[in-house]
Amino acid sequence: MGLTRRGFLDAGAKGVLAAATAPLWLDTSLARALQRGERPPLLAVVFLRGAADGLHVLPPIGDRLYASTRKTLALRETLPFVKGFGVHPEMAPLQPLIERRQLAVVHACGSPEINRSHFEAQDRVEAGEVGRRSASSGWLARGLSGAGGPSPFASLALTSQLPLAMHGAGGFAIGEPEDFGLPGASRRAREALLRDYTSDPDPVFSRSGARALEALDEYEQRMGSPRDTGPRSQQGKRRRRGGKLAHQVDNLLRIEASGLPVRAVFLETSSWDTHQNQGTEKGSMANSLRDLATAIEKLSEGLQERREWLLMVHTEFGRTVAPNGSRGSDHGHGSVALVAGTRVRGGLYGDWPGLREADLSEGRDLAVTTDYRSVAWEVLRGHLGQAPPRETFPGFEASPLGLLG
Amino acid sequence: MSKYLVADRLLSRATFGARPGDREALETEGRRAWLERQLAGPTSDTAPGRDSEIQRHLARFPHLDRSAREILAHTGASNDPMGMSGPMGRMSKEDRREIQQLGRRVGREVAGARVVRAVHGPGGLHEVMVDFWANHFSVDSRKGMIGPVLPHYLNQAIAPHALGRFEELLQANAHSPAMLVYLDNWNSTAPAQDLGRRERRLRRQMKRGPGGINENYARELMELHTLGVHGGYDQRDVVEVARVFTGWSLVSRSNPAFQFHELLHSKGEKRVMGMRIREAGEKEGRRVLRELARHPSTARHLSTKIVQRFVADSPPPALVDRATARYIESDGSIRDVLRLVLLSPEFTSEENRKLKTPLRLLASALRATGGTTDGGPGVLRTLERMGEIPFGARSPAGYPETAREWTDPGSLLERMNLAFALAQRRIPGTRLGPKPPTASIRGFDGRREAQAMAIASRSFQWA
Repeated sequence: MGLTRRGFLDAGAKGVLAAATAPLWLDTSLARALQRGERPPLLAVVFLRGAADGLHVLPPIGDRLYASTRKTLALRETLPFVKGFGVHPEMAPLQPLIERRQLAVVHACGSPEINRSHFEAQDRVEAGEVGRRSASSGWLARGLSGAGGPSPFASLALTSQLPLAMHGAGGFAIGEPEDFGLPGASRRAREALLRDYTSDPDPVFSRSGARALEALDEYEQRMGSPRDTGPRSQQGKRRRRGGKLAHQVDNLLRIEASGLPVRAVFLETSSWDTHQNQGTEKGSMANSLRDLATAIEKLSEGLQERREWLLMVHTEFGRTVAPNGSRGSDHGHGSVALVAGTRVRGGLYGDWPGLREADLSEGRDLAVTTDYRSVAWEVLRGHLGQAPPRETFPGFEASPLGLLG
Repeated sequence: MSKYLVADRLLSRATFGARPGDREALETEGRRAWLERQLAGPTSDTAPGRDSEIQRHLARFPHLDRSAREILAHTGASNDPMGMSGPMGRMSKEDRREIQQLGRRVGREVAGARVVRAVHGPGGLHEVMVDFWANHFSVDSRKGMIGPVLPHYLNQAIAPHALGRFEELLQANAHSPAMLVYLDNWNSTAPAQDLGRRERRLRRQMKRGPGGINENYARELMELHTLGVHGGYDQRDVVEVARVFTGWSLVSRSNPAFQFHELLHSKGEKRVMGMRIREAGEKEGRRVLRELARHPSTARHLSTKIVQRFVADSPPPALVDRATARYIESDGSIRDVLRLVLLSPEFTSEENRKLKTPLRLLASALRATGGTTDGGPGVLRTLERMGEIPFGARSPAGYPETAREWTDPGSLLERMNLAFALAQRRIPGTRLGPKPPTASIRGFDGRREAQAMAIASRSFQWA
């Protein structure tokens, strides 16, 4: 019994103190940084549409039921991550981040509700709601509201259409940077269109129209005008190396480097619905994971020593533990979320629910032990330097995970 | 309210847009007579001059009228019967790649033909409904093996039923190779415990894997195609419906035509939403489709979508109720539901605005000016960039319908770009005609700039 009453009290008090001061310290240091005019960490949210198989991203190789429950989907080779869990071998580009302990994985993560419809589940996740969707705006837009500043480029989707997650607070979508512009339109024409659009009775239409035309000026100052001739170029596509997500990161880095005041970005891919021929170490999902890992590595490399960054990867739900009849997996429940960045405390987070039939959601899917909103809340907090607005996730109390140091 | 509002609405929503003279012709004919002619289907309104222009454009797409078997004839597609060699067949990587490339080419032809028909097609409402159902039963032409079966899909599974009874459309769709491949049902097989001893032995002899159902089609059939997501089914029903459709597959890879494989079919009784489905092979699936087509949730789901397409993004509940009742009493007649919706007071109410989707915006601009398109790479690239290339939706839910989803600032900028690219002839193979659409922004006199401003103006963006 080495612990005296006095010592116990001290340790307890220190523990409490540490818990209470760490976030405060973070807030004030960031607040000071912001006052000095430094930029907040770039926030990148990556959405894997189609329900990514978390058991392929981070295979629970130490679970004695892993091989017998995953059967033909079980991986034999993985990269080391933490005891009992490996990382998919095609995610090798993440190794430097893993070694620097800047990659966190939240296992058995997802929405607490069971909803196996992609479209509805994506809508609800993007709206940041559980149960029926009622909000017409996205969680990311609400989380950033008031933080973006006046520039339309503060929150940016590197997609052709603005995703629901960014609806509501003036987010902007730029699919290909070269193609962004209005070639052939005179200044007088632009001004006339601005007047025309802003007089539309539909506020969404009039606001968007005004925002689009105003953003053009700012964009052209920084990035130059697009080519004035020829059909729509596919230059961006031709130059593409790596997968779709890696290409979105390339685009992001170019826009960011131009000096446009980008704060938060949304990226997405949609090749995760692996009902057929999912593959194991190689195959269709392995290709998608290679793209994801390459994209994260590019972001990390591209921003290195220039700017802090913070990234979150999530998906609408997971997939069945057992393979289906066509060497793939069907819609399930729990999956993973990844968090990476300069201030991230790497490692494994979340409780492992296990693979016994009794542990599975509805007897077939990995259960959810961490609400994705807790992850999103913490990531937003790291970006904002303070607690996100309450309306980000109405009625939800985030449980602290300690992802950021 | 403008005297022409009714005619303009019908032309801009029930067709791909008014052509010069259409409005006057509709006024002369009368709204009801015009609508009945549209509802009668594509055989009417075939002015020969226009038809030949269509034929000239469509002649550039050699695969349009070919069967999948003909399209695949000179490829290395395996001709092993599906039930024998297993769903993947035995094909080399090169053969796979060849088929993939051929598929993409055919996919572009079918997409191009859709654009040509939208712009030059005489059958207004029929073309609109083909587009509607192709989106309701969305397939992605980039998914492997879809391209070669896409002409059949459009010609056999969608176009003949676009104005008919929903059950016939649904049956044709469920039997179509395109949907069987797209939602993976061709690979959905009875799990071992559902097989008799004989089938199990046969399977072992053929060295097939353990088999098992694939839930993808069963789920989307109920969620997207019929009942709607809150239509009253649960996960157990998804599994049972998947069992019902096991064995609905194809003859072979080289001949991707529908075939029911008894050996892959799940034996025993199934229970779907409280209904007992006796073991009856392929008939089980036909019965489930019939019950789904007649289900009140399906009536409401489809009525809601039709009202949302033609009347307002937030469908007026009273109109949805009436359309649902009409669907039920007419045993799922698409024509009857359309008639009710297009003659309803809600349809002409001024506050019920609809934003044109990118394809509708493009087609209506070309039609308004008497323009032309060849459906070639130029116009497809434009539509792809705007997010609405035919048979290119990323999700089985198809492209979105509401203004909210097409009016973020970036998308609006794309729409303005379309107007200038059209007016300045920057889309190869696609030309505006000489007629200027009605200008709502004044002060632009040069023809090209005036046309660009008219198409970009907000009044042209709304249908």
